[in-house]
Amino acid sequence: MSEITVSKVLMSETAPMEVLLPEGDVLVDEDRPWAVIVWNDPINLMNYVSFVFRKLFGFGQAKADKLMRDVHEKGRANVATGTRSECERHVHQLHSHGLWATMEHDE
Amino acid sequence: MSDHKEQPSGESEDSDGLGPEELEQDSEVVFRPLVTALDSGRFRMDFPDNLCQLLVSLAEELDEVLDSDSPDLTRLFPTAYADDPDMDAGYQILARGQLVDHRRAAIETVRESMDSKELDEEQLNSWMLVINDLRLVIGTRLDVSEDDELMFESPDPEDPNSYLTEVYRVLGFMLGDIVDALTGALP
Repeated sequence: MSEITVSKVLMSETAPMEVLLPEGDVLVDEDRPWAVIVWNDPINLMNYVSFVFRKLFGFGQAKADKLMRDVHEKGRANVATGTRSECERHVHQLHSHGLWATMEHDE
Repeated sequence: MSDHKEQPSGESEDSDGLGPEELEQDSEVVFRPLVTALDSGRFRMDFPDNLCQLLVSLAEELDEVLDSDSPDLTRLFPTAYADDPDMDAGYQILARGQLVDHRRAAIETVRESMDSKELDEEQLNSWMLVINDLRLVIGTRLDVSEDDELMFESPDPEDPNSYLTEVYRVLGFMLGDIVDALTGALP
């Protein structure tokens, strides 16, 4: 019984947020590409960051190392682009690996 | 980011002539990798028992606080939408519980396999995730910054955080060896 109650609470929390958005805006929002950004942090090891890029995105070592160096030296790197849901999935996977990832509209 | 290899400058990578072969000639005690990929596709684990026990006890401590709102956990649950708090709230509602469950599952795998001398790739991946999470939590507690060279300095016994700093260093070396082994096994 308690599990059903929890899922009802979650549904009622999330559903209205989408309903409240004007329909046109939702379409435009979904159509605009998003970018996944990984930010530099002082803790994650360099070889770990490269490994996570290879594992999650299937990059070769050279591309993974290049992006890792961009993160380290420039402070951030764009590691993927796509729809909002694709990027959210990437961000979630990066978060589960402890990387500092955010998403924003790809300009 | 931080480099687990022995050169603090980050200038010299693998091509500086200080590979394992060169070091081996000079000294008995070398930075020999403690995780080795086997032909079977599994990995031999040579971490000392006391290190594995330390890892499991730290992992169990982490398990206990994962649901809390401790500021030490900040790096485990980052913001997804940096410039949109409403969208981020939506992400957090769905993601946070999954991230906790994922981390708990990895901790459970480490607990079950701590005495194993050989791990499969999936198990070793869990070790990697747990050790990285612990470094993120301890590094946050220690307020590690990009300029710190904690990996390379001798601990200062006067420092009240010297034990935690030493744990952070050791976890870094463990993680570096695991990542090197898993990287070598990538297709």
